[in-house]
Amino acid sequence: MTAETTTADAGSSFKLMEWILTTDHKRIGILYLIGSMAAFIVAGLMALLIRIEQASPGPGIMDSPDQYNSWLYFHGAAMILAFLIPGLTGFAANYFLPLMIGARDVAFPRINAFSVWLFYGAIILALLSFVIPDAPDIMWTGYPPYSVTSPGNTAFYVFTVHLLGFSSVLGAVNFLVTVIYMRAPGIGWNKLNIFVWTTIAALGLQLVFIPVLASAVTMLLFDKYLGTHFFNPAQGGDVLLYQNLFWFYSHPAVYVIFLPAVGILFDIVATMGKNRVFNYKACVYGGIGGIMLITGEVWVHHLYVAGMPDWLRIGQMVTTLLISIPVGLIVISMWGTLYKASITYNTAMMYAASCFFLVLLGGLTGIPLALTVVTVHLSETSFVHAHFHFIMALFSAFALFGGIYYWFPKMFGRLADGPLATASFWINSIGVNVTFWPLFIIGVEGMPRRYPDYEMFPQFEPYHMVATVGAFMIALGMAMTIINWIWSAFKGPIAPENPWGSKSLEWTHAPNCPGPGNFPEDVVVDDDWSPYEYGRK
Amino acid sequence: MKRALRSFLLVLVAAVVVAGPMSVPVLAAYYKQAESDIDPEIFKIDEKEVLGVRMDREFSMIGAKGERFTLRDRLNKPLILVFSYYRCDGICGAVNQELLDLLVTLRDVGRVRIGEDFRVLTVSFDKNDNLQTLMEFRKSLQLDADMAPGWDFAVAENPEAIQAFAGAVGYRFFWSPQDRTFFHPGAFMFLSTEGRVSRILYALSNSPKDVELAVLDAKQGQFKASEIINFAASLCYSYNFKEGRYTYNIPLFIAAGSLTLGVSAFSASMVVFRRRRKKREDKEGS
Amino acid sequence: MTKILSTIYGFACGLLLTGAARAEEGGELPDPAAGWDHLWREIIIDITIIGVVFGIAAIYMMIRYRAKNPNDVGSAPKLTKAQAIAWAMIPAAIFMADDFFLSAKGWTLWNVYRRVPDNAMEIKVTGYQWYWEFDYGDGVVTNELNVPVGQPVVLRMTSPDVIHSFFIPAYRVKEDVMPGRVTYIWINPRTPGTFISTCTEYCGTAHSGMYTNVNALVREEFDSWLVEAKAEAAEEAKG
Repeated sequence: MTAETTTADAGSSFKLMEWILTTDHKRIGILYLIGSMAAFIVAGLMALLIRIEQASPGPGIMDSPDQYNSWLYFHGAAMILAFLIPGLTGFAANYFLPLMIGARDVAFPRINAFSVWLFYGAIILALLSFVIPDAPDIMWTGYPPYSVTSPGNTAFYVFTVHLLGFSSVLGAVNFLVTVIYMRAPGIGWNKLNIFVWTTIAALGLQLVFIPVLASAVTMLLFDKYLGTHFFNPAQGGDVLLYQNLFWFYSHPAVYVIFLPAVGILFDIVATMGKNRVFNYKACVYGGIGGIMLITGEVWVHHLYVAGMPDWLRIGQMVTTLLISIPVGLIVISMWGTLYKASITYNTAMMYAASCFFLVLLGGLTGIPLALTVVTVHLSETSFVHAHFHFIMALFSAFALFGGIYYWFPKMFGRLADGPLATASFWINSIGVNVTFWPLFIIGVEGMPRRYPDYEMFPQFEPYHMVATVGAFMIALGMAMTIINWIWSAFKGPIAPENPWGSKSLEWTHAPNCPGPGNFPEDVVVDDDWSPYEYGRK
Repeated sequence: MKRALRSFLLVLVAAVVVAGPMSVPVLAAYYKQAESDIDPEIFKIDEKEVLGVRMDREFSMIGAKGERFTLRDRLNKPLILVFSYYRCDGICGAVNQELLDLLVTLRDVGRVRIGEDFRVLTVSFDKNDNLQTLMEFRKSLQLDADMAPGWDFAVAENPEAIQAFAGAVGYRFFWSPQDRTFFHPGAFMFLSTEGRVSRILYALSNSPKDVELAVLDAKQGQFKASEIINFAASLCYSYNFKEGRYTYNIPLFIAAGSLTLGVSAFSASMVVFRRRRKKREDKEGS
Repeated sequence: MTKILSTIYGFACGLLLTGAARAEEGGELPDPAAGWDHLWREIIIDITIIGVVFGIAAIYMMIRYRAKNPNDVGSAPKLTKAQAIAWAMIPAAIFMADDFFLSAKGWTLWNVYRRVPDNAMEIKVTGYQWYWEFDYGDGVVTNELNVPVGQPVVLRMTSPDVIHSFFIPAYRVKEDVMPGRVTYIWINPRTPGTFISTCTEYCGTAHSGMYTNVNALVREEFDSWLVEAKAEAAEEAKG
């Protein structure tokens, strides 16, 4: 009983065309998982190259700084746009959101299929940057004038953003309509899984803000290849406007990644702790809703040293700090869900538990960065680098990996919780701390980001060396993790139905490896049903 | 419908094609006034070089009533500084007259007013100017009574110092005995309250909007809360160094327009979904 | 409650201080870098306290509430309406109080950073791909920044090509340098010595090679250097 045979119709074997032409949200989810993990592996290898280069000052393994810069570009762009966002809002949402609301499919299955292939097109376009001459070297931010005057092929960046953006907007439309109209009878708004809430919040943000990014990069394209002057100050353009537009999308994009990760975390913790989510309404309406409200007004904190008017920078300091209120409410609910729980530890729960500390580290180091005047020193140093890796990359990736372990029996009918899983979890957890703690320290001392060479700061070499060792630990841990997943998907021990004893619909009403239509019979829930109600009065 | 759209676009393109070159004769007419073999380009102030440069705030001048004051005394608000000479029979009068006309328009319909939001200072760089020529020049302008307090006319207290004072911001001038006239750029220098050059506009090609936006620029972000509208309005334009005027900040409008894209896609798909579901239900019902 | 009150008080003081700072002129010259270090220490204490409290709470609950047997379920009580509101409002108020407390602190120092002393010496900085130029006037242009100790220096910065960012870690200050706009920072060199300045906005191939020295010289040394450099520049201009 392998993954393919159970998800396909009546015991037929693996057929490539069925996967290419599929409109089943679960298969599309698996396709998203494969694509985003592929992007993760390649971008992860780039990170490894970057760390090797930075292990010592002076040129190391790179042919030229341009090559190093193209690694940085690919690492950033692929990790954010092709791994984290599609992994969380593509894979997790596609496979589990319809199951969690008792829907048989999404509202527009064919559009869903279209958007996954757009995503694959984007990945191929991004990967092409390894074979074309003059790979893009403009970082994932692509600030003009450099992105316009750079010898690199900025067009590959722009078209990658276009394809992914289009794919995300289609996905967002699809899932929002699905949640609004296709919830099973009896599932009210206050009974949705937190993951459903965070996902539609993230998709709402995508829907509103992605077109702005798309228009900004399109104008970049025009500036570079068609000779327009949208961002050229010599001819009436505004040199800072691109940055404003970029972060107008890309700050909300941080929450597009953060929120679904939080959602997965809640579902794991509530299930493994057999506990109700603490203060559900405050978490949903205050926390998630609050983030939605504020996130559009804080982007200038990415431009604290970019020469914006002083009063604007100080005003945005206050709104940025206020983000701590909704995030604080979510954190209180996270912690509260542990209270008087009955926690069973397995790989999914271990990843979830480590996320508690990652969110603390990443969130709290964000507080100094919210202060304009503190950022005047810290901006663009490896302190910032370490901060956003903790909150955006590590927290979200760990939540996603936890989610994969949590839903593994559902997707493949087998368990992945072997010794390899436990060992790789510990290697990963230690590895991320070994990698990024030294970067905090040298960041405060003034180590800038995006440097292939730091001959002016030879005293930082030991720290970089430790960070590189950490990166190798993560590489080892991730290799073990992925081998474990592939092995377990085919040969792992068969999982019982609902192995965690969850009350959530995808476990209680759908079989493992659900076939087309998801549920054997239509889902109807009782009045007192909730995904987090474990029966203790 | 399609046809109407196409002809509309054609008209739009034609308008752009015609309007573009139209600004050229205006500029050409200005430079013609020099009527000499001197290349007017050497008077062009290299704006990018002098932006942010602080003028000597202790530079002292004699005002129309014979009172002595320094530049610092006039910097409690943004300042428009105009270098002229009062015996000029050519462009100095025209330059000041243009500014006056622009300021009258701004007073009547604009967001910034002379005296309230900014001041104007006309200084002579000719050592032969005195209070008498100053008064004559001032009279010929016929300032309105409500504008006069915000507009100072002055001569340098120490005429030898003015070359260095103006030269610090790239403003050059010299006497041509052959033409019996001064060669000099006709420019409005916008100074922030710190006395720094925040914008330079060349005379004879400005709209009231340009002056208004340059004054807002010279405030350097020091807006009162009640002026937030001004700030918002100023975001819609950006300064075009090549054309020497403010032009629309097009990307802002494109981006604002694109904000509606996702939301409208969402609303459209809601309608589609409901219609489809209704059709299906009707079929099942029948 | 006292914390909230004191925070509100702190915030009000911050407001007043910014007004007061505008009024006072002269007196002891502020040292932005020292102010930064002070604020940094306070913030580190602030976030460490929060981090330790939450961290210990998480570890305690993760150990304390392990499942005793597989069929156990969690026993967290359902919150009453009042409890739910309290658990939302009280943490929100505490976080907000801390936000305003930090805002007031940050704002006060920000004003120090942005209000250039009147007697500051001006040096024009231009960032090129990939080197810096420092212009002291009178034709004196260098590739290393020389500043006199004890003299506030304001750097007016621009760039003709792409966006750079001028960063002097020792003075805790940086600002982007871009075409079409002029930005500024000011520094108050306290001790003689040589410091590093780097470029911190990605600008292409030699981004990491765009560093130079900042030489803080004692007054006499600086003056004699400047006089010499001016004479040299005048010489050169003559041809």
